[in-house]
Amino acid sequence: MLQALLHSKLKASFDNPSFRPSEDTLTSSVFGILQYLPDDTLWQIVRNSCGEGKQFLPETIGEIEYIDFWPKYRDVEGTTNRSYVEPDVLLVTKKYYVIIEAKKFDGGGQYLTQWKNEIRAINNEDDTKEILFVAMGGNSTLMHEEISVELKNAEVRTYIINRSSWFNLLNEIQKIESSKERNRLVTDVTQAMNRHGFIQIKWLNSLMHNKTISTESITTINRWKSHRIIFLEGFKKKININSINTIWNPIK
Amino acid sequence: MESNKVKELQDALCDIRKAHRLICSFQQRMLDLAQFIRMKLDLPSLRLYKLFSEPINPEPDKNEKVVLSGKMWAWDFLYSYQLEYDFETKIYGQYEYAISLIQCLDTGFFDKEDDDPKYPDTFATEEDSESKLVFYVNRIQVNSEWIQWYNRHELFNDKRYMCKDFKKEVIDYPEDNEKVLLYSFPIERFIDEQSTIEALQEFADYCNKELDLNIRLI
Repeated sequence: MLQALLHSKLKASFDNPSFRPSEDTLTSSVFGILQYLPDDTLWQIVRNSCGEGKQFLPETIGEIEYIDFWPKYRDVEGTTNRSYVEPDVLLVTKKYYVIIEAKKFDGGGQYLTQWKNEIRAINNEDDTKEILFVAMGGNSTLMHEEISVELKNAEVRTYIINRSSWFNLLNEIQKIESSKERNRLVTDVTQAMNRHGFIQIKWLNSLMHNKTISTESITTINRWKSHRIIFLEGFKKKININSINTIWNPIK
Repeated sequence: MESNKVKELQDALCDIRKAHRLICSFQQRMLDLAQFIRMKLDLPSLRLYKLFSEPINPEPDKNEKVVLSGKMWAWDFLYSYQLEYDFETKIYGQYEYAISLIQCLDTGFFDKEDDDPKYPDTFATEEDSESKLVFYVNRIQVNSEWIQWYNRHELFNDKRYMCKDFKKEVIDYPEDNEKVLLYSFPIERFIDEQSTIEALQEFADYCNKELDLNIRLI
């Protein structure tokens, strides 16, 4: 959320008195907190949240030199944008640019032109690093996609779009190794995602059942007879809707 | 009313409250599990159908009030008892396939010969029954008509497939050029993420072998 505030992305979310979650508040809340994790941990969460494409992502990307939110790339040659191209999150290491393009919901919204624009614009500025791409949310499938992008020197290069979902990301966040500090981070980012409509998976092994239910209760209910309960017994039989007043004894 | 009978009823009502809260807690986890399975098998979407008896509002899109009718009975109000999670269809090569997951919380009716599901005291005992998940896969040739898919609820009411002893079967419909696969698990196989992934891999391997598909966990 801090990042959204610093980059003036909160106007739409606070137009009226109640907070309206947006793609930018989600991105800011999640990656704005995750950025404080150790580099390897952050990368493992992002990588493991991807679908089949994660096999094409390196196991480690090295030390993260900096993380940028909504960086503006103004060399738009070869893109469809006029002024600048703005990926949502950029992780920069010695060897890689990791582009994270986020959409507000899981299910649809990612599109090819935007991916190509972002890859091209970053490559326009610096072609010395390898570009990795994570499409976070907005995917109807988590199968990876190979795309061809024409670069500044007319070279055409193939890039893999690794698709991920907020659902998967939240699930991976729950697996972070526990420590006092990390537990606070996990709690905050989980609550932020809850606020944006994403709820962490509850598994069956957390189903608490320490209260006894007696099967005698079934016998008791079956034996239950009173002038009111005849109506309940009627659920076992066809109910004549014209008799409804007789059954209910309307209050006078 | 005799005071001990009132006390008995109060105790029974307390059990009813416990039962409802337990089922609510359970169903929350089943919805999460269904969503996880959908993501893991990369399936398009998720629709739900009530099974075992009719839903109380068979046409929810019409936004009409539900009217108490003579055709209703108690099971109609208990959605989680038997439920279909329909993940819709995918295409692989020359085939299109549909996957559903049947949540069958009580095989008790299906484990007995009795044909009347209205009276649970005729079912197999709770201890002798099972709660299970049954995968249903229907495969056709691409651009063919779905025929047996529209009859699938007959299989979900069939004691042969919903009883606790049923494990797996492939049913061939050569006249319709359709193949149907059913694979059953006790629900305990899905207790956590690792167990779920193992069960899904087992299901995927069987499916790919019997139906010549390429279902992968992602």
